[in-house]
Amino acid sequence: MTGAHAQTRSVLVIGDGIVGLAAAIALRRALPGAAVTLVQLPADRGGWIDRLGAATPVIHKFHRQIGLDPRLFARRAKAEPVHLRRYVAADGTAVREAATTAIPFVEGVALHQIWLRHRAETTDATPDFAAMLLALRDARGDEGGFGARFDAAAYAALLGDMAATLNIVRRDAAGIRVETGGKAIQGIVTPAGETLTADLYIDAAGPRSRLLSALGVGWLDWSPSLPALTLAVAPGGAGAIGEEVLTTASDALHWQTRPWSATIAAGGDAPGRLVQSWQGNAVAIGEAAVRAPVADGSLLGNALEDILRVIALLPRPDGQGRDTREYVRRTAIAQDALGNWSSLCLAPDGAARSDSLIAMLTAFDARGRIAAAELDPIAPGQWLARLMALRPPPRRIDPTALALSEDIVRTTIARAAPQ
Amino acid sequence: MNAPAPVRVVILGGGTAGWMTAAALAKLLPGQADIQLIESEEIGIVGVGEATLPHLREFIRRLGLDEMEFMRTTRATFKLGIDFVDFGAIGERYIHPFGAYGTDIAGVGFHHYWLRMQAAGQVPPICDFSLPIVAARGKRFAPVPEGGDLLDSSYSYAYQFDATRMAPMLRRFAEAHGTRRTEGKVVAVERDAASGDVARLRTDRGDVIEGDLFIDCSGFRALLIGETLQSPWEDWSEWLPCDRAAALPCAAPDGPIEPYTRATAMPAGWRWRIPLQHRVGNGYVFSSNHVSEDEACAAILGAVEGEPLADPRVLRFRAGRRTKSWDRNVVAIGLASGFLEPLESTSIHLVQQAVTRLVELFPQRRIDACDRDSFNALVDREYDRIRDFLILHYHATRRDDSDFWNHVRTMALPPELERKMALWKDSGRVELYTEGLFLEASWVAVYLGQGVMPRGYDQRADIPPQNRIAQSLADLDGAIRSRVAAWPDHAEYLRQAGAWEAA
Repeated sequence: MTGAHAQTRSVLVIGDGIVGLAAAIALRRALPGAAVTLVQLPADRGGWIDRLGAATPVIHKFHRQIGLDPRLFARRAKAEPVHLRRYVAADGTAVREAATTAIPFVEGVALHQIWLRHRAETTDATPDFAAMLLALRDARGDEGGFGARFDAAAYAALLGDMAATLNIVRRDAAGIRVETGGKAIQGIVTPAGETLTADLYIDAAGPRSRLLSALGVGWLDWSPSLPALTLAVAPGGAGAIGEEVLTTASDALHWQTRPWSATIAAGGDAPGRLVQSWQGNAVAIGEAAVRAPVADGSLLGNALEDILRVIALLPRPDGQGRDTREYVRRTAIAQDALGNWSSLCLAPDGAARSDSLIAMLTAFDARGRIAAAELDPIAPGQWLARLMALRPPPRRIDPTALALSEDIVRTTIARAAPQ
Repeated sequence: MNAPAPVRVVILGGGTAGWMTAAALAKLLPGQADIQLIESEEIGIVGVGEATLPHLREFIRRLGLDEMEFMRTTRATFKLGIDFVDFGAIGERYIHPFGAYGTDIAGVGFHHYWLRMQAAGQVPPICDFSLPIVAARGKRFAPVPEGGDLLDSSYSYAYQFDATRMAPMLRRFAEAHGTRRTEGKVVAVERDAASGDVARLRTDRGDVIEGDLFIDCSGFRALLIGETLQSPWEDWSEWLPCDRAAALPCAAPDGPIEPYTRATAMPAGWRWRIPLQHRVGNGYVFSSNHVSEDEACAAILGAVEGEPLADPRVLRFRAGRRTKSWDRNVVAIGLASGFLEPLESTSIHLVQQAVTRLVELFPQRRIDACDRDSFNALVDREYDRIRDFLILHYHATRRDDSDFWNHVRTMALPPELERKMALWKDSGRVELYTEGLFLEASWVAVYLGQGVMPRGYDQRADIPPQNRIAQSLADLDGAIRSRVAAWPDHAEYLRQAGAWEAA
């Protein structure tokens, strides 16, 4: 039994953007005995997370874990909840998607299947599926919706204040040089010639990441299935409380929330991910590990999940632990899901798709069913709600829905329909 | 939209698997499935799986059956876990509970704190921190209360029942829901010349039964999936060498009834002991390479505690599964699709899983390959994960008293299990998955119960001061004891709840 002698006593976090700050704070909280040092790099405009104030509901869980008051987050970062998205096509047609983590079941049958049957059989108007989910949301209570939209710079400042309160040591560096030996990092050398060392190195430097590549870890290029896109964010958005709008124009996607508006257009870095995000004593998180264009909060959501996973699986500092392999396995599943999620929303028609996304779309198109990958951070209900919004209706209605009595179908729709 | 024509479903075999399938399809797909079941009174049923898992309650609930009526009919008792005796080493025992040990503290699993305290010296066995284990040992039982606290929701329960009484009960239910039953033995299976699909079955009584979808519940014979379609079989006997069972029912002793199944390791396998209302089921699962059938029958006769009610009956099987449980228009459910020894009471569960998946992926008359592939992937994953979990029970041993135990202790493992064990031994962590039968708590139970101690634990378990953890453990121990002390005796509760069949 080791317990004590295999502990991680010091952590060096590279990069002081939102992800680096969040990682330093979370590690400081989880390992009160360990020294946590944050290396501040010059500002970088290549990454999305530090400019796109958007996160999935995991941010609330993360804040609970680090002890950040939700009211303080709302006030300081001007955070707003979102639970409804409107997609407006170039021709002006619009569809809606409501947030849900799980599609409710009635008599053992998924609500969207009952909705599909009602729509196919009844001449009466069937209410919008998103409206039905919203009506149920009102009845069941908020599950976190699509997460939060906020001012990214203000959020970084809030985390910075928190890091200072927690006595996280900050070191400035105009750039860094990585010293390696074997399959591990020996130290980080600053331009001043100072060598910083730690038991564990966390690369949160975004697209400028270099720790894992210095250890010889390769990069999987997702160019065949995902476009390279750039992001521009302007403060001061507009719209109704709890809603956001995505408008497709000929050459760009405009995304409007209350705290800001963003434009996503061609250009930028090629998307992809590290072959493995943990090697020896170094782990890459957030955009240092995976880059994919998204039009929701899943990029930061994924980075926060990375941090929680690092803490849950913290391997032995000698890098010999089997936990590393488990971390790499779980992370790769999450990253590939992020790639598929991104591809579903932003890949142009005709782009190549991963086998897992093809299988998912095939199953949905056939009968409105999906088999999400195990440990996929995107819940089956989220996939289904988005597929119901963005794809044509499935070709056939599930037999379990057809087996229900007409009475149950009618009352279910009536009960779930908005009043 | 025109409603699609009902799919003509033909179920071959009326054992536990056949009638479970018929009952579920009839109840959940009325109008969508037109169900016919062929069985012969001359063919006996294996009726394996007297012990079950908590998931069966969901099956009973979805069918809308009355739980107490089900228990009276099948002479059932409640079950809180499995007592494993002599597995890690002779003289050692532990209960694999339907529930957890303790509760997580600050997001860190309870067993990490227990490991820390264990490394520091004196700490009671981890079993003491599980409500279902303490209750099982006291032979007490209470149903899971609605809206209970953390401790109340820390366990679940299943049944131990007479499987030969379940099929007739489900038959009545399925027939009342429109299933047609045909008596007869299948003498010919005819296939469509163009597609190769099974088209119709002919019986010895001259009946010809056509169908769109055929469910092979013919047991080990696997008449459709095996004999007809020759769907390949993946053999797992290198890891699970037991290939026989000598079953022997005994009279129920007087006195309290254990709310748990017992599995006792034997020189060439293990034996089960399952207490029902009216008798006790026993059986020696053994490897015929290591002991003869006669020796095994003598061993089980010598080991049982009560008056034998029959001669030992030997069943033959092999561990493994079809590489495709759903092939063409034939879906194999039950023993026709695969077999895993009942060490963790998984036989009926595997039937239930397959039936549930079939309902979820129920096809139209023309079968979509996508549905079939999904079904097979789900069934495979279920089997593979249970397989690894069962192998662990054999491999994680210090026994060196027989060729059998020497073999399983030293054999090469499937790579997936090798990986899982390496992770545990390193850091006390369990490979995370969310699908499948046995999740973290079950793996922890078997690892620790059979003496596989990890080299490390989560370093966050070192954060709270030792006396605070000691206090938490003492509080938990006290809470569990006082909760269980208020529970009724198991046999008494069976009567009180109306589960007892006055014989």
